[in-house]
Amino acid sequence: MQEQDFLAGQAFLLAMKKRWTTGLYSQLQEKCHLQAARNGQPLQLADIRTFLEPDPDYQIFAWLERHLQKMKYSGPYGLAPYHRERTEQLSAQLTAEGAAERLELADDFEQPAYYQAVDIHQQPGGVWSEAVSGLIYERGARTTTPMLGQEHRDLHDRFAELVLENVGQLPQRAAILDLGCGFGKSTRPFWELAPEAIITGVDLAAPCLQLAAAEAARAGRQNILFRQADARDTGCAPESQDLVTSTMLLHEMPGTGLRAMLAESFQLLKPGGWAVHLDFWLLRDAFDRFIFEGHSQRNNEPFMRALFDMDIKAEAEAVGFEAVELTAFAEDSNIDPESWPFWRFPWTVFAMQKPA
Amino acid sequence: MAQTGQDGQTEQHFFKDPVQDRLMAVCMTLANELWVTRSRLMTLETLLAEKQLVSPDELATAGPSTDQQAALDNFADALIAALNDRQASRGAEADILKKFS
Repeated sequence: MQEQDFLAGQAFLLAMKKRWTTGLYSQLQEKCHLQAARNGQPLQLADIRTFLEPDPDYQIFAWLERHLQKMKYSGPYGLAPYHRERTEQLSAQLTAEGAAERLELADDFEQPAYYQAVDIHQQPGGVWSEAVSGLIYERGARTTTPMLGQEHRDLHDRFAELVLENVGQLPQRAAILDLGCGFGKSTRPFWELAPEAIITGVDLAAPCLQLAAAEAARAGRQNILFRQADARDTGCAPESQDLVTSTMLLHEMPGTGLRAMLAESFQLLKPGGWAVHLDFWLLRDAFDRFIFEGHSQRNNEPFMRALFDMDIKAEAEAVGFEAVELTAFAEDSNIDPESWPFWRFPWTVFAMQKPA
Repeated sequence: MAQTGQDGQTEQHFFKDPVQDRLMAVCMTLANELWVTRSRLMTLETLLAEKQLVSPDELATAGPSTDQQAALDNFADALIAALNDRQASRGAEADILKKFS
């Protein structure tokens, strides 16, 4: 496909996405508010299901969420066909002088069964199975949060700044571990804000790690390693890390996996070290719950729904963490998580400390 | 490569009649094509005007030629014909088996 057609095709999909995440979303929310007012009490989740599921506005909202995403990846101007047609040319982005020293891929790595069982976000083949999978994922991630700009930086910068400001004084050469680092968008702010830190990014997907290593090499970043490993069993030494972090990992893991990841994080941390994760959890009301249970189903993120049912604080404390706090996170300075009127992820910071 | 939905998984449905989901899909695909075509056309017209190959006036006032109008009329006729709920070839009458057995 021609480059201009691809760009125009993707621009259409983003334009449509901006409309269901604002106008349609607000319409549905207003309908629920009015229904609650008629009932004289807030709607429960079951009430909202009964009320909205037969509503054509909701049906169109749900259809648009599912199918615009499908078209984004697999349609006539989809990310997958575009990148696959250009595999040879685009693969050059995966190599850079110095990338090899920043990359450690496992021979004959066996992907977990849960990971292979679904193509998350409707990216065909998942983020791990093709040479261009990481590039497709990176391009797709630019429009995941349609109300923000197309730079990955803002949201991840804000999170990294928040973490580093609140975990106390880290040593200059702190060891930082970014679990489920993907193509490195969550890792980058840490290596920019903590230039002396020794940073490891861990992920299951080789194509993503290759992209992350190439970008770190192009930026000339030292003391960084992107390793192919499972967040449940990273291969890092016990009590080796000052800080363990992750961004948008928790909701992509089944509950058993999440528990194992918490246990792994605990044993990797030095006494007094912090684990701080950014994910989706604090829901304002039953309407949020309804919308995001639907998102979990529609966007091929089946474990998100189960995450909402987990008592994360209790799970973290069971592993040994203390000072466990879950707080709402504003992904932009203009956003108040409590009152933002449009669709947005229920960003939540999960912070916990290993006893000193 | 990992298995994908192309291996036969049915798509999720949102409307009472699953045919409506498919109608939405074809409409959205067409809308996508129209957007792309309009984008390219806008670019083309802008470049033609900027390079003074065609003036903005000519672009604004050029109407379809007789042949072009005939092609447009045929397009409209074909759209309407698709709505006429009539078979385009001789169909078998209900009693054909009885008639010819």
